Amino acid sequence: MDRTIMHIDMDAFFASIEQASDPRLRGKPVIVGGKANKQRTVVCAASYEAKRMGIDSAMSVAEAFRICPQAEFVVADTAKYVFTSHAIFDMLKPYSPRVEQASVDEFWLDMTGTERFLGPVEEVARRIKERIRSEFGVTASVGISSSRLFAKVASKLKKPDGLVVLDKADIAETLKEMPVGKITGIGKSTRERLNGFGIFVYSDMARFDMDFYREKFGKFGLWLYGVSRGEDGLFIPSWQAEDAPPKSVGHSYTLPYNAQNPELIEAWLRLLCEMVASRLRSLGLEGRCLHVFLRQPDMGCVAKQKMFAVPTSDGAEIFTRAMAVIGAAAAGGRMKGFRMRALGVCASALTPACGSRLLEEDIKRRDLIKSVDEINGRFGEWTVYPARVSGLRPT
Amino acid sequence: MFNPNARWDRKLPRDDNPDEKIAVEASFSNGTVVPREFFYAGTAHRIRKITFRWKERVGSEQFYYFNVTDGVDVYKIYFGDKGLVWRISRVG
Repeated sequence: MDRTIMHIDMDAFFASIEQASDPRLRGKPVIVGGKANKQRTVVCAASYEAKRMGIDSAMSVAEAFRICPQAEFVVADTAKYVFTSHAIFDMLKPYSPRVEQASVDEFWLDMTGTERFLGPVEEVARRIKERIRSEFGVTASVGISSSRLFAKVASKLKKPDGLVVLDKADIAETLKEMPVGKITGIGKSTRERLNGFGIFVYSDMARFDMDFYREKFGKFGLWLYGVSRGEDGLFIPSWQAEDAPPKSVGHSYTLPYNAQNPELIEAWLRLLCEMVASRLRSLGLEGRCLHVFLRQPDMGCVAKQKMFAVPTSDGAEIFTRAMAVIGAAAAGGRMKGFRMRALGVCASALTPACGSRLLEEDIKRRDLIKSVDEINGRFGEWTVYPARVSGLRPT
Repeated sequence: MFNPNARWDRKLPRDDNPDEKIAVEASFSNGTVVPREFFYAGTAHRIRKITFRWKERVGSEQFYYFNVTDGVDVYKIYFGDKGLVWRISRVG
């Protein structure tokens, strides 16, 4: 049976919330930046009025003001965006037994079989869009198709405030001129390889058979072949039950600048290790396997993972392990002249936390972590934090 | 699954909070708080519209935020359920 998947993509989410919050910003080019200092931050989000003038996310705010001196600058208010995202997620739950939050501004709904209870899916999408507009003052674009991939592609076809139903039979015709790099899941390197075979737009993909894709791209080629035929079945991640234990816990961060200073890189790494550890402890889990990646501005990446004998949820221990993992990469000469743009830490091979300790040193350490968690639980996360990361804290 | 809870970039409301304390007339009904009027810079500001509302838990304290307008300017006011003190943090 074909599935019916709805993808909801909020339009310029952060900027739209700021425009809803402050009526004077409506209809104006709005830039949402990360810090109060306009000259040293990047554009987190731009309103559609700003986008029309050539401003987009990740551009430096200084550059954005050169393009549009009359733009209104607003400091990002993460709590406001996260609260609104949660509230929209809660609002969507009655519409489907399977609702998933893909990011702060994207949601998936499996609408398969809901027509009997809710009516036509397209009509439900209109009702959802109207509720989002009336309750939150922002707009969303909705895509409906037979798979997650094509629902997501559809949601981007008529932004902002669009609603596109992409029937499987219409995919080839509707997307025929779409550059392959615009298709979710096809990154820069795959796009370049496809271009090398004369595949530039979606309709070009259909000219090649499964053997071609398998030979040139291996297992990933099977997914590419499916995409070329309007299918996404080979690559659909399973819907995750809300209460299912996670298979991994990770955090990543993209810096607004390139870091070369080893102490700074270590500070960011320590921070992410603590965030991973904190979440592991809140879930009652420990991890044995650690995966670390550091990405350079040109998207070159150092990524290593290692399995350790003893699971842990101690941030300091995870950091020590991460340094060992990165150290192995550094010993191979891959870190020479490294400029970091993004980094990530992920713990996997998770097991339920074991509370018992034998050695006195371990018992003291466990009690210390428990005390820190209690303080942060009472007074707010990051009330107590590792000294190494203090320079990263916003002032 | 996406987890937006761990946020490093948040500025915490704290005891040394530079945001000015203000007096607010508000109604509490059916679990909802609605600010009606606040006193700031020696003037009473009648709230014409709450343009946006949100909340955030910081440790054991829940903070309630409101963007409000008196028909002229937009203000951000908030209070925490532990301290029960209203503050004004931004004047637009």
